[in-house]
Amino acid sequence: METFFQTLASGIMMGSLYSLVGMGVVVIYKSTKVFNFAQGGLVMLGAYIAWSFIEEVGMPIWLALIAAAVAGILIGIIIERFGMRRLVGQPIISLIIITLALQAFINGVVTLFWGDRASNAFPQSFVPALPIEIFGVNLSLQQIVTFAVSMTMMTLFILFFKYIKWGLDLRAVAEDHQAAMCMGISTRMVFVLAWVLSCVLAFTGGVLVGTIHGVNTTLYEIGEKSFPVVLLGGLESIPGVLLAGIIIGILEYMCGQYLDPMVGASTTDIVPFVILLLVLIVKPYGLFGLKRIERI
Amino acid sequence: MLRLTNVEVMFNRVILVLRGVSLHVPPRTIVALLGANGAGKSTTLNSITGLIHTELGEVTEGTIEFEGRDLIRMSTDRIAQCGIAQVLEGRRLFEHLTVEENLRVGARAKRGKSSIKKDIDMIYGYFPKLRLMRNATAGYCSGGEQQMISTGRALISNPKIMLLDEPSMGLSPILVQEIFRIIKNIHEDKGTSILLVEQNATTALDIASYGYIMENGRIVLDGTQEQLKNNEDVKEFYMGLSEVGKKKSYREVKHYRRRKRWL
Repeated sequence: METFFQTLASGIMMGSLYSLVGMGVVVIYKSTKVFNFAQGGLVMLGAYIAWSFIEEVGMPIWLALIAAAVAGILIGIIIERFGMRRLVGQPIISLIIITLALQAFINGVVTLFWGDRASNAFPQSFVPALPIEIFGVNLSLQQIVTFAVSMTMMTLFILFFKYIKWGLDLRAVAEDHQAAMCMGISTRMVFVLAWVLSCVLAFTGGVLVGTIHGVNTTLYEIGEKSFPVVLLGGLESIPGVLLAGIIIGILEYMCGQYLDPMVGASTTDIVPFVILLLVLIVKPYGLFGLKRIERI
Repeated sequence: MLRLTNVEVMFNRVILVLRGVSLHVPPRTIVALLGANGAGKSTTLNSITGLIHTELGEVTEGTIEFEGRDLIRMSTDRIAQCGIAQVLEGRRLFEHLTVEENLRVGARAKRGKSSIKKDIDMIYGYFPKLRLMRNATAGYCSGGEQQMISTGRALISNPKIMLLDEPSMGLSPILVQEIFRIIKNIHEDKGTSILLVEQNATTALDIASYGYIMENGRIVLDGTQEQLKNNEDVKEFYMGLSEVGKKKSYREVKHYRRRKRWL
């Protein structure tokens, strides 16, 4: 029973990270209807940039994190300006393919600049791997920090979309571009904002996952893990992606703990997708997806 | 105030939709733009607010001026911030937002410094029904309520001119009357100019002081409310009357006269 709770807790901690990364996808999808396949790449890029600021530039940690956030903002603006804007008004699939290209591009850039320094780790003093015992479950301080940061970001975003006027702009543009323009909302600014927010989320995720797994070229895989999370949550819902991330996280750890020894192979990458398919059969909009409103 | 001179609009660089439209909306007036389906009424409105650019259209000739400013090269959101509020055809609400959130989005183009809360209260003053359903999801409201939200969403920015695209579409005659009564109230209270696009000529000419009639991308007739209401052709083709007060019988109309062309 102790193992069960241990696995459960680890799953929740990891799942919160999936939610955080998935939320970046949701923010872009909500406002522009583009599914960003490059989210994993951005996570990796964020981890590398933060690592470089700390280890190679020698910045203090707090400054490095701020610098990484600024870099995230700049990269968001650059992607929107040079990757997306020219194609606005074209079929949405072209924009989605661009994000695939972006993923390949980021992979290339990371290999080019950091490729020879395999498997780096953030300095230990960053978030020490202190074991902490809560209700008889052993967790590391890293896991708890990850969980806390993810939850804080989620809460901030939910409040942002509900109460801040820019958040409202994003939702309005998501519903109807023309009507939003008639209300004096600049769709261009909204698209920039969406990409900036998404990049900042990805970079935050990158730093967090980097502290747990070390900074290496497989970090983009967390992006792939976040796709079933986003779909399960319903593509447009932040509470949905939060819940879905935790569900997938728990499933993954449970499979690793109980199913793998039975099967004798790793099932952690398969089971989340199987569950996703099953859920989509019953609820095609995902758990919290917006239902299409149609007047008859 | 708002003046279009010889505006030509082309879509996809080949389809000429407006062929030289000139019209003028003076301050503090309601002007009606009438015509059948496909006459170019909505395109006229969309060319004023720049929305034709999103549909691959562009103004190839003529000028559009609002208080001395050239609107043709401005983006839609900038035009909205100048005080031109367009109510799109078919209402086009932000369906998943609540009624009040829709209004708050509308207040983004607000001029002046009044608080949003006060503005929202003003809208509820004109449309008391909306106050009761402020937290309802807009997409699930009835057609009449949606038209109220859509009009309120434009009105809340305190515009100098409102462009209303077929507010009567899909509404029952009683609701149409109610909507038009409120539009007239707004106009009288706030002195907002209104450019009203309608197929329902009778109702539109009841509140408009001047009217233009469009056909095939041209203005074919214009005049004051009185002139248009008493014009034989308008009566026959837009109001369905042959002599004042009598129901029109199509048996008396020669088939070649049924669809009159002015040009």
